[in-house]
Order: sequence, then structure tokens, then C-alpha cells
Amino acid sequence: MSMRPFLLLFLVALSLPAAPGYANPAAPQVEPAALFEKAQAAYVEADYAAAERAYRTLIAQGHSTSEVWYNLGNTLFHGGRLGEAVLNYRRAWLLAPRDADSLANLHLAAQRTGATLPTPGWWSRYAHEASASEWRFIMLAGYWVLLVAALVAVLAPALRRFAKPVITAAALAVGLGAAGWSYWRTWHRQPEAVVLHGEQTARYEPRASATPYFSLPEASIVRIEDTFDAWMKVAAAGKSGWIKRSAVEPVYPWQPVEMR
Amino acid sequence: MRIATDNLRQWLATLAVALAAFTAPAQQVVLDVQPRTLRLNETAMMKLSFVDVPMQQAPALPDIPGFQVQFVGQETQFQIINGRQQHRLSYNFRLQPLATGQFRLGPFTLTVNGQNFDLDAVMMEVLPPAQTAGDGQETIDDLVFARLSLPRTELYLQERFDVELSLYYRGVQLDRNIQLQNLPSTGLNLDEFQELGGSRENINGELYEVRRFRMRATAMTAGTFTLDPMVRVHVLVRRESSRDPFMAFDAFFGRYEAQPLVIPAEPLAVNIRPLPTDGRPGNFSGAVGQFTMDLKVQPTEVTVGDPITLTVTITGHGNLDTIAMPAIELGDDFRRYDPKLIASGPQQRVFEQVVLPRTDQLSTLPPVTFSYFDPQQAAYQTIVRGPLPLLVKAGGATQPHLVQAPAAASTSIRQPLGIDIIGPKRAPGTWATATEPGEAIAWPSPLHLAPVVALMAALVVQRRRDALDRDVSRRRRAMAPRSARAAIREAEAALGTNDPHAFYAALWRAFADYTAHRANLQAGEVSPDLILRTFAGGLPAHDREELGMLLAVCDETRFARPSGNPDASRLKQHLQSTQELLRACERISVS
Repeated sequence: MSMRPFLLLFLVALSLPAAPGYANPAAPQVEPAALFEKAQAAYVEADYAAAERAYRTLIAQGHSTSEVWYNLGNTLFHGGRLGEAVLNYRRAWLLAPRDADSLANLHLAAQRTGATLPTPGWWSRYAHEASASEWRFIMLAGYWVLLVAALVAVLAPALRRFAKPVITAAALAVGLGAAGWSYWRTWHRQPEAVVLHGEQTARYEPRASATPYFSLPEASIVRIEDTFDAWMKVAAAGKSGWIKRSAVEPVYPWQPVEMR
Repeated sequence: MRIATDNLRQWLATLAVALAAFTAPAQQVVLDVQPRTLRLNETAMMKLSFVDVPMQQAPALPDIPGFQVQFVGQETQFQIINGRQQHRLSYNFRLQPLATGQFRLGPFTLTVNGQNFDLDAVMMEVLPPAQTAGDGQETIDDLVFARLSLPRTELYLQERFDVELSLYYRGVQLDRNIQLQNLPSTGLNLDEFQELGGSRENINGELYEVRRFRMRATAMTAGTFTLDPMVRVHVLVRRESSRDPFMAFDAFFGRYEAQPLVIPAEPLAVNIRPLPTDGRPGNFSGAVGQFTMDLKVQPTEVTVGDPITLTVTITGHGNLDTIAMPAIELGDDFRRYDPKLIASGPQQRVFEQVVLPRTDQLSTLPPVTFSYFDPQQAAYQTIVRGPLPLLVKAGGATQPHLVQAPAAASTSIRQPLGIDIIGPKRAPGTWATATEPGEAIAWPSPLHLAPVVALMAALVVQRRRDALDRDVSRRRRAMAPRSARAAIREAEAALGTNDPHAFYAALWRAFADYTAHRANLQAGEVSPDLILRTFAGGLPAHDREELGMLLAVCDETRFARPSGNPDASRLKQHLQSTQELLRACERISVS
């Protein structure tokens, strides 16, 4: 049996998007490289407002790469908007979790505001070694290699001794990839958000007169647990409380999240 | 390396504290009398304890006015506290009051082995004997009640204070377990309550046993809050007598039972005020209480770039756990590391900050300033330590340094070192629309099931192939239609070339090979009779006749080679009949 159809099918399957990406169709399409260069030039000239506009245009056109989020974070940092800077550094990190630069800048910005960042455990540290799409690729590539090798082993008994180590390695890749991928799926079920402005007070209940529970400095990274009207229940440092929804913005999706 | 040094320093500090505790002199004499309030017909116990003081015999006590003193015995106790052995010898005396009133015992001075120990005076109160048989007007509220007390009822936000609850009872027995209920859930943050101990008190001529409890509280929100806790206790009452023949077992299970009783304490309103904005220092960071600050700097003689360690100790009462490193205005003359909290306790917090002088033009270390709000004074207080003298020398010859050309040096500008963000990134390699994280977490396309389906199919095929390899008759059964089809194709070819000999030879092979495979026989073993016998039982009569006729024609043509032109339509009819007969034979099972 020829392997060529399976190879073709594998490549097609891996390249299939599961959902359409976010892009603003109304935005006029400008050559992204030129726009990026324009943003860089504005940044170098300390024209941070122009740089921010250019980076945001790139994002609106669907070019929401790690580099664009990171550079937008730098632009906002210089503009003194530390909460928004941390939000964009976190978005850059989400797409490229091994990028030490976005983490370093994020920590520096959070340190300036006195915000406490989440401390990842060993399981999170493992999953942060790759992005969700990378783990997914490892898992699916391992899956295809595993099944094709198993097919070879079934149909061509003479090749079984070559297929066995390939099957073992591929099964390992599937296991590791699935573990990392499932972490990111869990992460997306309770996404993070960043406190954008000032120091926010988390309250016991979703009303302005409720008793304050704890405070969240600007640039604090919290987990979204629930929403209710104009309020959002967030968790940070082992505590959960309600803050105004307008005070935070989710790290992902890039647009505000709706729950319930 | 620096972390290792810090750890070593903390460990040495802990060791020093432990050694200090171990070697500290602990000789002392303690006088205690319980109860200190009693009735004339009761007795009190006086205990004179000698801690790590060698004693040969009981001390002789002076006359104590109003009491008759009787020695009742001694007890010895060994304890190991923080690795140090402690010996405690206690002499017990019974005090029998001789008259009612208030009495003062002591103060005493005790001389043991030439060493004097001062003992504080103890106040005692002796009441007349209790009146027997009450008038029946007393309620449970007279016998058991609770009182709440606070240091002040006007408090400030973030102030730490003690809430004290006293439980009074007389004439009833309570078990040890109590619960506090109806504590405020907002505005105040209350720690777990702890029992302080017991005593007796004379209230309106009645002697009450008192149990005291304390909670540490923090004012979290401005406003007025009412504390009205309920105390749940268990009163021990004697079981009612029973005619149960097994009542003797009551001795085993206790003759008392605990009945719950909830006692409301008198409500107390607390007004929590926000911290005043007037006079608030710029560096105030939320500390509320009474604090002192100590600053240590080491070393004070350094070379440019050498680390100087500032150790700041905040001691006192208040919201210590929220206090951060006090402010210090270092300017650009110092490089600084982030401050670290190196020790924290209930009344102390120690910070350490390392700074490095950048220039030898410094003579002092800037002052450290700590501001807090003192709720008792109702005012902000600021503690300043420093400036402290500092001797900074220029870098030595052994220190690595850069040498710059004189011309460049004349125009060089000293740039302060610091921490900043990492610069922007270059454009990505490709500008294809980025993959969204939301896409990456979606379940993969169903197309990924294709290899699973292929694998299942391959397994089925392989299994069938293996089964045929193991079973010859089954394999030959599967081969039978194929062999017949091959022979039919040959017959069709012979029909095309108008070769009746080859045509009927092919038809014969179709029947013979088919039958050989079906009956698992060698090809040479098959004869027309065998074919008829094999399939005749399953064929209708006209098919049987047709089959016999066809086999006879095949034999005749193969061996007799008849002359003359063959009738093509007859050959076609025989070919068609052969195909139909073989299809009919396929449905017949052959044993």
C-alpha cells in the first residue's frame, strides 16, 4: 500500500484551521512589513502614539504575532501605561512562551506598580515550554507518525522491527504533546486578565457597597472565574473577589470575553 | 552566590538567638496564689516555685496576717525548653483565711544561698461564707453571663487590637468546650480566639469563676460595627435517677450530662474611622500601630562598587505583616538591589537592602525614613535613622577597570546604571496571518480519523489473510471463483479467435478448476462425473441437464476434435450457460 496518500492527508490535516482567526475585514490592508517598519521608526523617534497606532493596525489586520504584541507592550511601557504594557507582554508570551524578553519586561513593568504575578508550579512550567499550537503540532505529528508506523507494521511484517522504535517515540510525543495541549485548554477555560488602571479593590460581592476583600495594583494578572453584569470575579494569590469589569481586560481572546 | 551568603547569614542569626536562649541565666523564684478571691470557709493554695535554684529544704515563711499557713508538700518538674533543661521545685502551702476582707501578701525578699530574690505582693480578698438555700429568684442569667471588652471603641482603619471576652459563672459546672458565635463577618478581620486563663471575681458580693478569651482583630473597613457575640457553653447537670436495673453502669459512663446553653454577650459598638489625610507623610505606606525602627549599616568603609548592607528592623505592635521596606532616597549615587524581607515575627520585621556606591565623592549614607499612624496618639509619626557617615574609596589597582583615550575621556558623560525594558523585536520572518491561540486549543479536524480507519481496514485485511494462510480449504474456496473467471476470460478470447477447441478446453478448465478448488482436490482428480456428483444435489433438474450436456460437449470437442465450422451463436450460448451454472454452483455448499 502506498504511503503517499497518507502523507498528503497528514499535511492537509495539520494545516487545517479549526476556527477562523480574528481580523478586522473593514481595516484597509497595508503591507505588514512596511507598517511594522513604520512603527519601529516611530518607536525609535519616541513617537509612541504613532508607533502604537501602527502596531494596532497590524493587529486589526490579523497580524497578531508575538513580535507585534511585544513591541506594542514596549510602546505602552514608555507611555507610562504599565497595565496595558503587561497585558500586551502577556499576549506576546501566550504566543511565544519561551521568549525570555517578554517575560523580563512583564516582570519589570509589574515591579514598577507593585503587582504580584502568578507563580507557576512545575506542571505549568512544563507546559510553558511551548505554545498551545506547538503542543498541538507535536501531538498530531506524533499521532500521524504513530498510526502510519502501525499501518506499516501491520501490512509489512518484514518492516516491523523498524516500526517498533518509531511507534514508541511517536507514542511518547503524543503523550507529551497531549499533556501540554490539555494545559493550555484548561488555561483558556479560565483565562487570565490584567488590571489596566490604578489600584482596584476586589470585593466579596458584585456590588459597589460590598465589603472590600483585597486590593489589586495596576498590572496585576488575575484569573477570570465568573462574570455578572458589570462585574467580574477574579482570583489572585489564592483569593477570589469581584472587581469592575471595565478595570481589567482579558489576555485572550483579544476582544473582551463574555462568560455565562 | 549572593543567595547562599544570605541564607548563611539568616542561619547564623537563628543560631545566635538559639545559643543566647541556651546560655541565658534563668534562675528565678515565682510566687503564685490561686484563687485570690475566696470565701471564708474555703482555702487557697500558695505555690512557691524555684526555677534552677538548688534547694535543700522548704523555706520558712513569715506570718501572713489573716491566714493560717500549712505546708502540704512539694513537687519537682523537669522540662527541656529550646534544648535547655529546666528544673523547677515547687513548695505548696494551704492558706486558710481567718477573717473576711482584703489582704496583701508580701512583698517578700527570699535569700537562697546568699542570693536575694524579690517576690511581688499578691492581693487577696476573703468574702463571708455563701448564703445557703437561695430564695429561688435567681435565673440562669445571674449564674452565667459573658462580657466583652475592647481597648477603645473608637478605632482606626488597619488598626490591630484585642477583643477580650470574659465568661462568668457560679453555682454551675461548665465543661471545657466553648464556642463563639455570631462574630462579625465584615469590617473586622478576627483571628482565632485563645483562652488566657481563669480567675475569680467578686461581683456584688457573689463569687464568680471567670474564664477569659482573647481575639486579635484588624479593622478592615471604615464604619460602625456592632459586636454581639453569642457564647455557646455546656452546663454539666446530674442525670436524673432511673429505675433502670443497669443504672450501675452509669458509674462507667458518667453521672453528668452536658446541656448546651447559648449566652449573649452585651453588644458593643465599634466605630472605625478612616486614617486622616491631614499630616499624612509622603512616604506613608499603610503602617498602623506603635513601632520603633533600628538601622544597621555594614560596612561603613568601602571601595566604589562594593556592597553595603542596610539592615532595617521594625519592632512594635500593629499591622506588621503589611509593612514594606522603609523609604531611602539614594539618588543616582548608589546602585541598589531590591530589598528583601529576611525575618518576620509577631512583633518584628527585618529587611535587608544592598546598595553599591557609584562614586567616591560620598561621605554619608542618606537617612532611612519610616512613617506610621499611631492610633493612640491619633497622629502620624515619622522615624528617621541617619544619615550615617560613610567612607568610600576610589577603585584600587587590583580592580578591573576600563582605560579610555584622553580625548574621549574629556567628552565622556557618566551614565547612571539602571534597569530598563529590553528593546523592541525585529519583524517576524513571515507575515502570514498568525495562528490564534483559540484555534490551537480547538479539537483537531475529523480528517485526523483517516489513519485510524485505514489502520482498522488493514488489520481486517491482514487478519483475513492470516486466516486463509492457516486454512487451505478456505483459501482454495476463495480461489475458486477467481480461477473460474480466469478460464472464462480465456474462453471469451477463444471465442474471439473462433477456435472451438480452445474455447471448450477453457470451458472445461472453468468447471474443473472451480470444482477442484471447491472440493479441495487436485486438478487431475476432477472428472465430469465428479463435477455432476458435486453439484447435482443443489441444482434444479434443467440446470443439471444443461451441466451434463455442456460437460459432454467439452469432452467431445476436446478429445474428438469435430470438423466443420462452429456455430458462433452456439458457442456464445454455451459460454453464457457456463457463467450462469458457475454462479448457481457458487451458491451450493460443498461438503
